[in-house]
Amino acid sequence: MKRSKNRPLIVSLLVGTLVVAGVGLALIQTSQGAAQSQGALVKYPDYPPTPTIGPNPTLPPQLAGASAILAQSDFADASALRNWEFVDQSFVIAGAEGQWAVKDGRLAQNYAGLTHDLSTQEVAAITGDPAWHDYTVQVSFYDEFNGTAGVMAHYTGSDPTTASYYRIRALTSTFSATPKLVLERVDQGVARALVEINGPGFTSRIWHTLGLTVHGGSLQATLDGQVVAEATDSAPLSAGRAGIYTRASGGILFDDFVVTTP
Amino acid sequence: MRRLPLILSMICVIVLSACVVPARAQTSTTPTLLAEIDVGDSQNDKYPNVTVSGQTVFIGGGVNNTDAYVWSFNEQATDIGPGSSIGKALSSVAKPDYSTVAVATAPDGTIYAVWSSFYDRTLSIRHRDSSGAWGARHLIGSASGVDFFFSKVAVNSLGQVFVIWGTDKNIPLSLVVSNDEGVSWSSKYTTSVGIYNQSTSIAAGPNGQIAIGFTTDSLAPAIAIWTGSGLTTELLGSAKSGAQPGVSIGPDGKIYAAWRGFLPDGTATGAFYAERQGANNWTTPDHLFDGDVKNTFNVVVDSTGSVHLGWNVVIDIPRFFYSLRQAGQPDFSKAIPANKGPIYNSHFALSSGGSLVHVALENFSGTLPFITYARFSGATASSPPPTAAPKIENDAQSIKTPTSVSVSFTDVTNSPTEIRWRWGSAPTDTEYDSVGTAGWQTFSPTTTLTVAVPSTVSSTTTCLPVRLYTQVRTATKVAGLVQFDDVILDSKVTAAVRITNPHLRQVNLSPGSGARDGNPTYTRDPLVYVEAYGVNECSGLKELTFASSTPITVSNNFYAGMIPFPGTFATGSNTVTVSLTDKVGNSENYTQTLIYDTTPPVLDVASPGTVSATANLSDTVLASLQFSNITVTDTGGYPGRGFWGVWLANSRTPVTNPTTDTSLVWTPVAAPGTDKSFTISNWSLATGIPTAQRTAGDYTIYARFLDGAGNPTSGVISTTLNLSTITEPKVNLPFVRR
Repeated sequence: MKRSKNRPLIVSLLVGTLVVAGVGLALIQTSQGAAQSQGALVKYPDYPPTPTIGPNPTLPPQLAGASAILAQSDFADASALRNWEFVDQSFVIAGAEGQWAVKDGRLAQNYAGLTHDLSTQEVAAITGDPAWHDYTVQVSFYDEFNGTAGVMAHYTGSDPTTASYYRIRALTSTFSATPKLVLERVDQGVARALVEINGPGFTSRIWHTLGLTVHGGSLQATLDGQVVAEATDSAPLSAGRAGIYTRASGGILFDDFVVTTP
Repeated sequence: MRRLPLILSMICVIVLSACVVPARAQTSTTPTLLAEIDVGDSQNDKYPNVTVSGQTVFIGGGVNNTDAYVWSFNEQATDIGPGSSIGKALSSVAKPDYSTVAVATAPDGTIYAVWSSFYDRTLSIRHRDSSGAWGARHLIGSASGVDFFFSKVAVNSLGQVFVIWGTDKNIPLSLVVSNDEGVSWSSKYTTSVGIYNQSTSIAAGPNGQIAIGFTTDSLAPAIAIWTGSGLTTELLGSAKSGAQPGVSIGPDGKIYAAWRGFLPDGTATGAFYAERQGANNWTTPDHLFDGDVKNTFNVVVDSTGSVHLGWNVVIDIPRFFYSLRQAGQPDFSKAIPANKGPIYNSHFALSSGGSLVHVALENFSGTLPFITYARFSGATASSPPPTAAPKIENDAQSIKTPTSVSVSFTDVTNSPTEIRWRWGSAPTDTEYDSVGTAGWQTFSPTTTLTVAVPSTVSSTTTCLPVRLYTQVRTATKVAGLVQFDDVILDSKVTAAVRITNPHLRQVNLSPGSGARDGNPTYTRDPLVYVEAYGVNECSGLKELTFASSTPITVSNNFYAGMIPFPGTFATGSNTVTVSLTDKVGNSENYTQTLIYDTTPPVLDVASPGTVSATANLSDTVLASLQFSNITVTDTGGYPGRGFWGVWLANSRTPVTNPTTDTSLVWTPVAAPGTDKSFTISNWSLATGIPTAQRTAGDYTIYARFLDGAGNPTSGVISTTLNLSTITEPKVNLPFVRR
């Protein structure tokens, strides 16, 4: 009698459980085409997983002996951006300006405009004092797919399209364009190559350091601590700020920016 | 309680049934990359744009900040030749981003190209007809301080040309419309919301539809739809949720959109897709995939309803991918990449019923962007668009203006079952000359159609061809490209005809003896001189028939010759008829009255009248001849004084019998006026006199009189003039100072 009293309850629980399970399964199985929570409607072919970004390189030895550090940034957080001026190096329409951000403790070029468009626009991040002179500027960079990295020294001018400065810029080895390394002087926005190197270009997805030393009219560019270009300028740019150069294509990280004097 | 097992069993069935959901059919269409070709001379090009007309692909792009270029090549091309500059696209800031070229195809296959020139703030358009010739450049807009960014062009089914552009961030998108192939433009229409100033998309559809994809200034993907008198905007998402939608209009008029998404903080959320179900009513967006999608998303729906997607996404590097949802199937295919890259922008168009996908890729490899062309296999062409090339009257170049023409067809492919046509313009759903719903009527490839020629067409009086546009479609309503044939309608013979005296001085073929001049309406021989040439004669003259004689072939649209009058040519007045026939069978009669007169006039022996001569003071060799009271009788009927002119001859010595003396050279001169007394000025005493004899002394002038047919009197009058010196006329040329 006791069992027979509990039977309706057991049956009800069993029926309820089955109904709930059935409805739940039905909901999960239906509406595959519309629900955004479902898997992709278009599948990509298999690509190798994106490599994990490794640790930054250690500071090259020559900077260890520097007598003075004029500026330094490890981009620990977004507050680091306050010390930088971000410029587009040629005319852009409103809304297409290069974007920058701090991501995971690194300075990231973040495409162009608020919709983060891919752009070939040349952009730069400028910092420091216009009176700086005779210094070494160096930065570590990790290229994912941008393909263009550079540093600038003795940067003068308020309008980036007519500014003057020295620049070492490098291209990734996957680009077909040459030269891969150019040490150049830019006057009033017009670049003049001092040294061109048709080397293999840098390897993407590993960290590199790129440096430029200006001492009077002597220029020396380094890549990963190795001197890659040297030049003498008979009428040198006397002073100016330092900076980082790339394109508004996203896909590149900068870190450990440092400006030192000998 | 005995029912419990049954109840439990039923519940289990329900649960298990819920678990077994029909698997969606897997697509059988797998696109493949067929070709990738770098466009060699596309240096420094941004935002390339592509369209297709028939089997020809057209890519538009700016080059080197100086020129607007168009490249054209076959849909199966294995290489791409140099492009052609269609105008200047100058950039004052040495950037190609803002001097771009867009292309589109009209229903009749005409290609339109629109380009902006940032330097001089102009927006221009040209179109290329089926012959391959580019028409004149027309200016769409020009204004100091006003920019035309990211212009795009589309042509709807009514043949209206739509051009859009952005001017600045937060400013509405601009649109203008042309109903005359770009010659003139409407006033500007704008979207109701401001835009985020970046590349847009535009699509044309049936029934005059136009749709535009753009990003609002609040960063929402949006579609603007042409209402016929303006634009209405519909949002695809909320603010800060997405951008740069591609848009397309299917064969049934449904609008499709796909766009890239992001979160308010900018984090990319992949791509989305939706179909419009009604005004401001879109399907819940499908999340196509995750990933960092970049720049304008492309969506094109082909004539069979297959949906083609193309986009740029960062997977290791920025790449282009293509995917397809075949008509009638539920799933999109696997995404297929282009190999080359990084790719920054892309645009694609379809050919062969969507079975070929032609992509213009903006490729960047370190210095200047350039175009890479990629071709994919697309939809299975189960219903490719049909073709049927019309041939009017067996492809005749010109025909006699009819009330209807016969039209046969060649190159009939893909089983068309219906046809519509229109004279002068491509048929549309609202404008056509054929009979049936939207002009569609039954078509059989082997049947020769009889197409009425409306009076507006047949009344053309120029020799320019008229054009019949035809379009066929299949039983499943897959419409083919509009095709056409030209024919010149020739309604009549248009010629200049001269039927005249064969002895006129101008007639080089003058036969026989007698005076070589006279009245044009007389003849002394039973023949006439006929000259005929086509003037604005569309098909050209073919034959000439004189007085019902055997037709004479006319060559090169011209005839000149002496034609004997067949049969008896009665003395006196005769009506002469020349019939001309052109090459399409039109004929026209030309008549002229000629008087056949073989009887010479008679100079009165008793009172013939007189002639005297006076030498010019400055040019003594020229004399003025005064004739007084000349009395002539002409039984041939020359009216009035009885003679048409004077037959003159000079001699240094008097001759005994002027009418038979062979040393005299007789020259006919028309007698001025109608009076018996008249003066002939500037008669040269040197006429007929050898040069050596042109010396001072006596000159005798003999005169006979001619009737209209050139018959001379046998009677002669004369006069003698003594010249003390000979002076001849001189022509003084202007002195040229060195």
